[in-house]
Amino acid sequence: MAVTHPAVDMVTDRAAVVLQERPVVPLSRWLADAVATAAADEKLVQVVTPGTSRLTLPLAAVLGAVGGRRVVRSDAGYYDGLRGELLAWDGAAFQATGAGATPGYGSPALPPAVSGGTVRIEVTVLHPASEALVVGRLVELCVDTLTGGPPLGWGVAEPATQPWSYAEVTAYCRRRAPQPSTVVVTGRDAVGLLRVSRRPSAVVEKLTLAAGGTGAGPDLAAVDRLAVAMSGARMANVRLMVATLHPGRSDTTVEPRFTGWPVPYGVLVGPEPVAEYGVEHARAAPAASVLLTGPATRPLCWCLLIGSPSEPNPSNVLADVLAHFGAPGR
Amino acid sequence: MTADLIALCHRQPDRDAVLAALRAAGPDLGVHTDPSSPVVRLTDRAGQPLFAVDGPLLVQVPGEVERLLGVAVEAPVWWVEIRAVSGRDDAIETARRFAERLAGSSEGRVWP
Repeated sequence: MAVTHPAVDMVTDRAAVVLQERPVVPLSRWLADAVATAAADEKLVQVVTPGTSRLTLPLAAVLGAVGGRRVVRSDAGYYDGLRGELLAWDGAAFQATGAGATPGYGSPALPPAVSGGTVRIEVTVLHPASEALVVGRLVELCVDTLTGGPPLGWGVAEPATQPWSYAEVTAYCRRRAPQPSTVVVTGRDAVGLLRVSRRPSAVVEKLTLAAGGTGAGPDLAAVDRLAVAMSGARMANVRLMVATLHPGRSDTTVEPRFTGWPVPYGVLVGPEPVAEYGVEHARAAPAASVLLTGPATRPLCWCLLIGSPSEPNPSNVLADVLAHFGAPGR
Repeated sequence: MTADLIALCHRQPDRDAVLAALRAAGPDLGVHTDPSSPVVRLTDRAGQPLFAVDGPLLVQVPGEVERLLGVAVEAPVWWVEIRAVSGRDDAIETARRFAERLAGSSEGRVWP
């Protein structure tokens, strides 16, 4: 008998299928390993859960990064947990049937939404490669500003096992280089995924962080403070930060149903791309409002995306601003 | 019925505790280890997989157990992840006997 991965319930030519029943499905150590193995074998990862399960942000992000699917089992059949489209098992993988979305997706038949929502930020920092380079300070700035407290822990999977230490995260990433590293980071009511990878002359630090908590909705003033704090000397190499409001639950888990469209709130363009295009070009960014922040000689550009007089849809405003600066997050 | 169990232990489950828990779980369990992996796999008399064990991991981060399992357990705590093969009741029962015994001898509890 072939030995399958302990986290995987079925392997076919095209897919590795994982069944999970937990209320909160995390990126456990063996699930992280199963995702990596399946990706290396060019197989789809399909995580099957009941409709009452929620995914942690790290698992949802890792699944999204490898093109994996979250499959929800319901009385009416299977559906995609991210998009709601009906799925069927075709003998080797779960595939969209083409029959549209499951009727219950986003309807009150499912457990009621916990109102409040979360803010999610995606930050890219491009460090010039150097022996003295440290990573993880970005996590400290973001978690401190958004949650009012320091990061609590980090780990290679969930649960995060290690007390927070940027020095240990740096050492871990350095040991793995030139292989990229992915670590889970946590704070109070916040969780994220930090990805560190090498380019020929730079080290890329990418943070996805969700912060929830109060139930009163995201603290927008804290997001604005974070944008300004990014102009500090320590973050001189920030390229891009996008802040998005996610309606729905006020914890950071991801439900398998529509809880409202995510709304892009703001985009911060770092000093390098601003310098590349010039300050006047930055001031003319097609956003609802534009604030230049940081040193006058090397400003950053914080663009708010909601309430633009010419374009009501913040997602379009975000696309326009990114195009204005030549897609600086790449 | 869930196929996942977690033993949360305040004392590190040592080798003796793990062996005793395996004996308590069932007779004639096959124990399979792989030097390249921290996971231990357990099989029945016929060599069919029953459950796998990963850990213990020492969770030193406050709030992690509550975030992931919804129960308040103070860090630090030893986290032993146990996964029974799905669709086989005796596998889940055997895994639970293992988890209960391990937690019982290591100042712990079993989730769920």
